Amino acid sequence: MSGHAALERELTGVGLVFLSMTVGGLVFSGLRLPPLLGYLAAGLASQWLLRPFPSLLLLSTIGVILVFFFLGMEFEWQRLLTAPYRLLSIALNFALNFCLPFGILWLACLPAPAAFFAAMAFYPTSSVITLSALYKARRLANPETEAIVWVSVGEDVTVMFLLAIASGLTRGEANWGNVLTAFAFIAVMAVASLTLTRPLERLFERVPKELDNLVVFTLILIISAFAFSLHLSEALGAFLAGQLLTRVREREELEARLHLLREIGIAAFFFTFGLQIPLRLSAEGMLWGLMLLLLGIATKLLTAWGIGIWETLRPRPKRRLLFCLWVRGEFSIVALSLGKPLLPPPWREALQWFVLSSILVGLVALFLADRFVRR
Amino acid sequence: MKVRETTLPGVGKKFAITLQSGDELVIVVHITGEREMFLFRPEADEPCAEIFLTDAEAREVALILGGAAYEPTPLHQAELVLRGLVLDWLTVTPNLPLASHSIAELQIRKRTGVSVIAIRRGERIIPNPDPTERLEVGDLLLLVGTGEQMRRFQETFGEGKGL
Repeated sequence: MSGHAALERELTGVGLVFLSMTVGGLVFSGLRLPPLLGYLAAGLASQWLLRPFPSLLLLSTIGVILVFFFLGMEFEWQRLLTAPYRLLSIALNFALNFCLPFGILWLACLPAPAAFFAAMAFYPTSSVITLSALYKARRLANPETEAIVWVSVGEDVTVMFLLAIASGLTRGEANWGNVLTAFAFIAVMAVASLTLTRPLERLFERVPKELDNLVVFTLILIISAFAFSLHLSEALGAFLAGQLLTRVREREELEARLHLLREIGIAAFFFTFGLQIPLRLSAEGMLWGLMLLLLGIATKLLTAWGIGIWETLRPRPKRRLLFCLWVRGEFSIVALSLGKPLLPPPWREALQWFVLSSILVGLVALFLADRFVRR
Repeated sequence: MKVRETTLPGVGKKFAITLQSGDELVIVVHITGEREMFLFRPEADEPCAEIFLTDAEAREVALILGGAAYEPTPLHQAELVLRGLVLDWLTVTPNLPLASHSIAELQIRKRTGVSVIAIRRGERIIPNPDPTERLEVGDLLLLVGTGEQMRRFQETFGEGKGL
């Protein structure tokens, strides 16, 4: 194929992707649902027309990088330490939603590395989808939102370490050298984030305003690419790049300016996930997918119940919280893409369907929570 | 007055303020600039009032609440509870090296960290002034920054200082 024809194909593909995402986003927004679900549905619906292609995969990777960069930038260790009692909520969530499924899957049927990735996909609630849905439902100010945010803060930090361990497992056998590299990388970046705030501020003072975005984007991509070259996840690199900018004075301004790019990237990310979900599911995949969904609902219900008691929420917010943690999303999709070579095919299918169904069922539960509670 | 600040990942920030009356005012500031305000009665689980403001509307409201249009009580050095910020008014006099220069030329934020959030010029109020806005003698500037930033501002742009 000539260069011109290839470019034409890519551009047409990108155009179709954006058209589908816009239509999906508009329809779901009109239904007062998070547009992210619209992008995912658009991906699913476009399977008859499109297959993942290089430009889309790149855009989707940039989306993941920006999501994790934002999470890193918004994550402050100090804040975690200001509320040590919340560590118990974080530990409960980890025990019930990572350790328990890991143990069950390992003992029941999967080798340890595959069970690790499956548990990693099972564990985190999607803060991106959940908060977007709470915004649509106009419940961001409600008392239980703070508990939900703390769950996601805990998951951010835990997932960072899980990604570090995952980097040592992606070659099949446990490669502890890679794990050590990952932890050393985290330590170096932690020291950098503590010491480089002033130099970075001075850099932003000197750089002309119109180049600020370019400087930040370069920083994100270089650190993510470096992490990738060390056989670590690019998402981990992006999270740590975000940590570098947590305390710089210009943080909020940068956040606002990169927001648009993040929105486009995340749309491509969810669209690509939708595009890759197998529409035909084997009986085994279906069975495991359903079991995971039921187990996922049960463990998140227990988690929310425990957190509600520990946080001394009043009865209504406590009951609403029960229905707010079911949705999985960005973390799970990253875990699935990392663990792809290790997961047996029926499990890959089952986990993809688990993520999709947890988004659908979780959103229904979240939107109906108010009605359940009022009864 | 107690203010609790929570980061909402990917959304923005939530500020919960317990008022003297016992009510709780929750303000959600979105990255996109929208603001949502909710009022909770004491012990209530759901808000009794909700207000949604665009960025421009929120800034106008903030100026009115901050006393830019009408100032019944002195606001000088009004210490805010939020992150130790200081809100201060400054009149541009001929002795200050500010007159006849734009905010961008003066590089006020870059050099001192202080932001000019509004200018009162005669009867006119300029909220969130553009960096190209040229300051004039007699302008009343509404500044915001930390105590340290305000001190740096005084050192840089105080009386008798050159640019």
